[in-house]
Amino acid sequence: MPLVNLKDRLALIKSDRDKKASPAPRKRIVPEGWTEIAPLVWMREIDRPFVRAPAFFSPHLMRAMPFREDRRQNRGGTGSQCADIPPVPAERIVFFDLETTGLSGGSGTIAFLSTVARFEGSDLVLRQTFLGDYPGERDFLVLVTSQLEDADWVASYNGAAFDLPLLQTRCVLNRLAMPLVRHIDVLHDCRRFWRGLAASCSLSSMENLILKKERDEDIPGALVPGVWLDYVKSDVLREEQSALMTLVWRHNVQDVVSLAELFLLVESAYRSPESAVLRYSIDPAGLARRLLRMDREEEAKGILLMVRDKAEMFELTGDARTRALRHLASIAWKARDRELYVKTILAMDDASLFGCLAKAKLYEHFLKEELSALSWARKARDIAVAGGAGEGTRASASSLSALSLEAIDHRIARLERKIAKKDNPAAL
Amino acid sequence: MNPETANAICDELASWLAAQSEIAWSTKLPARVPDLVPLPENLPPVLVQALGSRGIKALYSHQKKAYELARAGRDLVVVTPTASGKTLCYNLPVLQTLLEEPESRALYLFPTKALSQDQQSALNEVMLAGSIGLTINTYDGDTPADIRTKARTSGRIIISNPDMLHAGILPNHTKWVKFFSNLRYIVVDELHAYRGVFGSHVASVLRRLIRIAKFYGSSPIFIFSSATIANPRELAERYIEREVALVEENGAGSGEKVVFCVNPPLVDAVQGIRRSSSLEAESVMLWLLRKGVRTILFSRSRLQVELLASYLNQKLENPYNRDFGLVVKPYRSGLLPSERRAIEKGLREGNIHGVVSTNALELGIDIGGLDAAVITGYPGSIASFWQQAGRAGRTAGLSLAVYVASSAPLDQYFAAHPEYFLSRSAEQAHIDAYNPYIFTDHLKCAAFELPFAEGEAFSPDPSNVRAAQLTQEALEYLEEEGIVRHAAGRYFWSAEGYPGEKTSLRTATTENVVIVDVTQGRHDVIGEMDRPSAKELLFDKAVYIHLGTQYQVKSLDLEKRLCLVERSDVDYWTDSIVKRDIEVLSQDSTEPHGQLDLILGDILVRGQVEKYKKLRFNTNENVGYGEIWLPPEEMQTRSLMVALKPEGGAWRLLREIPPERADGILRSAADLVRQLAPARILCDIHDIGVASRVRDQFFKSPAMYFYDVYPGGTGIAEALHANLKEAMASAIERLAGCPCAGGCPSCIGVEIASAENKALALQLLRLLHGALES
Repeated sequence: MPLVNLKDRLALIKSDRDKKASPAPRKRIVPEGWTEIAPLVWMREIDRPFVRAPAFFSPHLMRAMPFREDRRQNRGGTGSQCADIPPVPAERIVFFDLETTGLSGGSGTIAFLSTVARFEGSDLVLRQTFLGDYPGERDFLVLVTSQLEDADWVASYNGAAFDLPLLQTRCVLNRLAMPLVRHIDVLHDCRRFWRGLAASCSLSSMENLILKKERDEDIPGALVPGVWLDYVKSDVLREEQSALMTLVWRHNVQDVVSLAELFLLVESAYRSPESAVLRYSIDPAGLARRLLRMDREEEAKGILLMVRDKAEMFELTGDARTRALRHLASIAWKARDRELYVKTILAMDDASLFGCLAKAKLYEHFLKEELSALSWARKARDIAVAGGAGEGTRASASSLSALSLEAIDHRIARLERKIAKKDNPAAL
Repeated sequence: MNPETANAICDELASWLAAQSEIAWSTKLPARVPDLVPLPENLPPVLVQALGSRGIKALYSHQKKAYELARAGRDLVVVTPTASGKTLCYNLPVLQTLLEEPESRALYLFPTKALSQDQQSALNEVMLAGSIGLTINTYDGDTPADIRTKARTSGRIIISNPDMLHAGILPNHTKWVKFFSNLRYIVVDELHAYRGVFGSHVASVLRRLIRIAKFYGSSPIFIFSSATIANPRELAERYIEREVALVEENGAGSGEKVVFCVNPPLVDAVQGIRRSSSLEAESVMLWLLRKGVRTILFSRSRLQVELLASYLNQKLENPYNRDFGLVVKPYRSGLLPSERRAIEKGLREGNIHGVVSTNALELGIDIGGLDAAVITGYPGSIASFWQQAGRAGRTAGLSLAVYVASSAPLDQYFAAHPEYFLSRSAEQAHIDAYNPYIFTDHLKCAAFELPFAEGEAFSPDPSNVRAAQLTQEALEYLEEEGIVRHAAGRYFWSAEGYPGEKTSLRTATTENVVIVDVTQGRHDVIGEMDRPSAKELLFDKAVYIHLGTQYQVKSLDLEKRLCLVERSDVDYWTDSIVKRDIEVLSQDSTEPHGQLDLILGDILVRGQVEKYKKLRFNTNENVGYGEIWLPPEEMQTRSLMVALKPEGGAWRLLREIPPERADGILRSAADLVRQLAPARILCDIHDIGVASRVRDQFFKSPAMYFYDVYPGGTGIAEALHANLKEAMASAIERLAGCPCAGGCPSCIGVEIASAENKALALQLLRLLHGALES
C-alpha cells in the first residue's frame, strides 16, 4: 500500500479540493463466454469431461460437518454420526472455492470470484461467478449462496477455516442468510493422508505430489488480490490487466478441478482403503486412525497388517512404516491380542531406535527374556549415540523422553541387575 | 487499625519524625460521614441477595444516583476517589439489565490487562456469592482460543481493553453478531487514563465501536468512571459527542487522614545537602511496619522499588521471630502476571504487610485497604499524588500519608509552601478527537469494518457537520491513495491487509525483552522489559533485581530480544547514565517572523546509554564505573523549532546575561509554553517533548524545540505551529499574573527562581510573542 509520509498526508487532507460527484459504476465490456446476470455480476459455465465420475458418493464416510461459525462445537463430528445417511448421487455434491481480496480475513476482505462445480453425467460442470465492482456484491452473494443451497453437500479445500467463514462475514455485512450446508473440507483428510510426504498440504503441493499435475499457465495465489483491486480501480483496462484477470479466472477453475479430483481420491480411499493405500502413497497410520474412529476396525487392521506383512508392495518411508506398526501394536494391546502384539513388535525395523526399544520392552516385560532384551537395548543405545533418534516419532514429549540416552542407560542397568540376580540369586 | 491505636501511632509518628528529620508541614483531612440510602426498590432478589452476602445492605448516595441515571438510559460519568465503591455504580444497573433481558450484553473497557483481570475476579465474586449465573469473559491477547469462541457467542459481559477492541474485535465484528446486536451498556473505566494522543486514539476506537453497534441495531448506554480530574464531563462528552450526566458527589464515608510532608535531615548543613529521600522513605516505612501499620511505599523507578524492598526485608530479617512475621514485596511492571496476581492477593488477604511500588499500583487494582502510604517525591501530577495517598485508608478510621520531599526544587517548594500544594486542583485532561492523523488512521480501520456512505460523518453524532466534512475530505484522500474505492454512493475498503495492524494506540513498543535466568544450567523466564528500558537497565554486567533476588546480566541480545541473567551476590547495584541529544534532519517549512524563524521539520531524538555507575548497597557509595556498548535509542519525529535570529531583541536579551542563566531562562520559557499548550491543542503534556539551547549547534543561535513524542509524529508539532502565538500569550498571562515574588512551579519553575529571572523570562516571552504577531 503506498503510504506517503505524514506531512504530505496532512497537506493533502487539508488541501481544498473540489467535491467530486459520486461516480457511477463504470461499464465494462462483458468478455466472451460470460453473461451479465445482474449489474456488475457476470457468470459463465465451463463443461469439463471427467473420466472417472462415479454415480454415487459416500460423503458420509468422510469427515463431514454442518458449517457454523462456531466450528469447535462440531469438533469430533465423525463419519459415524452421519452413518445413517445414504450414499449421495454424485450431482448432489458441489465443489466450491473463492478468490478474495486478502488472505487474512477480517470484515474488510471481500470475495470477488466463486466457482461452484458439480457432476452432470460424466462431465464436471463449473459455474463461475465474477464480481466486477463492489456495488454488485449483494447480487453476487445471492447467486453464490443459491448455488450452494442447491446441493446437499459442499466440498472445499480449507473452506472450514477460510472460504466459508469469509462467505458468512460477507452475508452478515449484506444482511443475507448464510445457507446451512453440510461441508467436507478435503484439506483435513489430505493432512492425515499426506502430511508426512509433503512439506505443506497446500492445494498446489497436493496437485504436484498426488495428482501429478503441472499448471502450464498460472498466477500465484498471493498475487490474486492485487489483480482484482487493480482491475476494479482502473477506469480503462490495459491489455495486461485483462490478461491477468483471465489468469485469475483460470486459476480458480483449476483449483476447483483439482479439488474435485482430490475429493474423488480421498473418497475412494474411504471406500476401498487397501487399494488406495497402495495406489496413492497414503500414510497407512493416518487412514487407519480415521477408519478406527468410524468403527471400521477390521479395515484399519487390514491395511496395517498389509504394511506389516507385505512391505515389498509399498514405497513407504521408514517413518511411515514405523508409525503404522506402532499403531497396529497399540490396537493389539487394547484388544489384548497377544499374538498380534508380539508379531507386530517383532516386525518393526531393526535399524530404528524405536523398533529396537520396542523389542527391548517386549522381551523384558512380555516375554521375560532379559538377555534378548538387553541386546536390543544395547542396540538401541548404539543407534541413539549415532544420533538416529528422531525417526518414527512424531511423538509427545513423554515418549521422546523414553528415547533419551538417559532412559536407555537406565533400562540397560536395570536389565543387567535382573540378569545378575537371576544368575546368582544369593548375591543380592 | 482501631481508632485509638491509630491516633496513638499518629502522635508517635509525629514525634518520631520530628526527632529524626524535619516535618515541613502536616495537615489533617477530616473524616466524612457516609451518605447511605436504601437499595433501589425494584432490584431483582438475586442481586439483593448477592449484595447482602458481601455485606452491602444500602448504597452510597452517588451509587444510587448513578444507578438511577443509567436505568433511565442516560450516559454518565462517575468521578469519585479510590475506595468509594465506584464499581458498584456501573455493576448494579448493568447486572440488573442483564438479568431482566436474557439476551442483553455489556462491554467493560479497562486501560490495562491487569485491571481487566482484576475486574473479572471482582465480578465473579459477586456472581458466585449470589449465584447469579451470568457469563463473564475477559477477552484480550492472553485469552485462549477456545474461550474466545465461547466469549463471542455466550459471554454476557465482555471485559477487554481498547487495544483488543481496535485490533481484534472490531475488524472481526461479524463473528460477534449476537454480542453487538444485544449490546446495552459500554463501561469505560479509568477514563482519566485516556488522555492526550492515546485518548485521541481511544476516542476513534469508541467511534468505530458505536458505528458497528449501530449497524447491528443497538445504541448502548455509556458509563464512564474516572479518578479526579478537572474536566470529567467535558472529556466524556468529547468521546461520545452527546450530553453526559456527571456524578461527582462522593457519598462514601472515609476516615480521617493525616498527611505529613517530611524533609529528610540535613547531612551537610553548610551546603544544604539532605539525606536521600529514598532512604528516608525506607526508614519511615520500616518504622510503620514495626508498629504493625500496613504500608505502601511509592517510588519513582523500578530499580528503586526493588532496592527498597530488599533493604526493608534485610532490616526485618530476624530468624528468631520469623522476621517479625512481616512480609514486604516489590510491585512494578515487568513482573510476571502470576507474580503480580500473587502480590495483589497477598495484600488483599493481609499476609503481605508492606509493598513498595511504582505508580503501577496507582490505577484501580484492588489491593484492599492499607493503613499508610509513603510517597517518595512528587509523582508529577496532583491527581497522582492523591491517588497514591488514597491507597491508604480505604476503610473508615484514621490513615496516614507521608510525603517525603526529595532535594528536587519542586519538592522543596512544596515543602515550603503547603498552602500552595494543598490548594492545587486536579489537572485537566484533553483529547483531540479530530486530530487529522489519528482520525485518518482510524477512518481506514472503520472503512475496513464497514463501507462508508457518502455524507456519513465518522462521529458518534451523525449530525456533526464538521465531522462529516472531515470524513469526506479524508475519504477522498484515501481514494486518491487507492485505499478505498468510491462507487455507487459508498466508499469501500479496497486494499490488501489489515489497516489495524499498522496503527498502534500507544507509544510503547510491544517488543519486550525476555529475561531468562540461566544460573547453573537453568532456563527460567523470570520477567520481561520494554526495549528502551532494557538498554538502561539490562546492559551487560548490570545488576538486575527481581522480587528481591539479585542477578547479574550475562548478555543482552536486542535482536533476539533475550537477556540472560545469572544469580549474583556482588555488593553493589548499577545505574546507567543516559545522554540525550537532538539532531535536525529536515526543515520542511520556514516562516520568518522578524527576529525569529518558525520551522517545521523532522528531528532525531537520541538517547544513548554510555556508562554505568556501581553503587554500594545501602550507602550508595560510588565504587566504580563501566562502559556500555549498546546502539542508541533513536526516534525520528516531527518538531516545531523556534530559532532566534542574531541581533534581534530576544537574541540580545539572552546574549547580555551569563550563558548558564540564559539557558535557564530560555528553558523555563519553553517549559511554560509546553505546560500551557495542551489546553490549546488538546493533548496531554506528556505528548510534547521540549528542548532548548542557547548555543544551538544547528542554528548557531538560541533555539527551542517542541516535538512530538510519538515516532513519526501525530500532528502535535503542526498543531502547536498553528497555536504557538496563543500558547505564548497564555504563558505571558500566567507569568505576569503569578502572585509569587520570584518564581514558583506555576510560572518559571523553581530552579532559576528569582525576581530578576522572572522578569527576564517575561521579557523574553513578550519579545517572542511580539515577533509572532508581526
